[in-house]
Amino acid sequence: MKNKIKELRARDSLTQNDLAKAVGARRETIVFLEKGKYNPSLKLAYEVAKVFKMKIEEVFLLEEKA
Amino acid sequence: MKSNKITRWAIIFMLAIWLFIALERGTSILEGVDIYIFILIFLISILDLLHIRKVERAEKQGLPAEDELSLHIKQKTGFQAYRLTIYLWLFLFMFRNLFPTIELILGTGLIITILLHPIIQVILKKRSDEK
Repeated sequence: MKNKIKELRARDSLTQNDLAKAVGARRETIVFLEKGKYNPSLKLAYEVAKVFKMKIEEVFLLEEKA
Repeated sequence: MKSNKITRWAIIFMLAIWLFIALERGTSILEGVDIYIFILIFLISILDLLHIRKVERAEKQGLPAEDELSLHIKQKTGFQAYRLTIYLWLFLFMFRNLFPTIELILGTGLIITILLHPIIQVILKKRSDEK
């Protein structure tokens, strides 16, 4: 699953720590999310989208299988 | 944090008991089976202290020490360590003739068992966890 967290974080001038605090996660989790190495739970995805005032599907993009 | 204080006291208590037993027996602390007890207590203490440091650092930053990813990795680590431990003990008992004493088999098995969990955890943390 791809996501726009890094771009959105830059847009809102948020550090990884700021975002981690806002969603109640560890900074390492944000790193993993940005690298696309971890698919978050629906709750965490919702929390992240809420921080950026966007919908989940606008932040997280499901890659279609070829 | 209350649990950190309990862990610190548990470590001091373990070290005190071990020291008492070693002195009571009149043997050198780093001799015979006692060396395994020493290594085990040392490893447990190091792992507990690392955990305490991690929790305290997270608390200072105002971040949680545990979240869904760390829990996920912990569960995966537990399962992998359990599976490998089964093979480890099977191997140790199959090749018991290679070890001169029972204590050596038990000591080696226990030390590897303790080390397996943090090693697997580090590997899982480094690797991409989930695609």
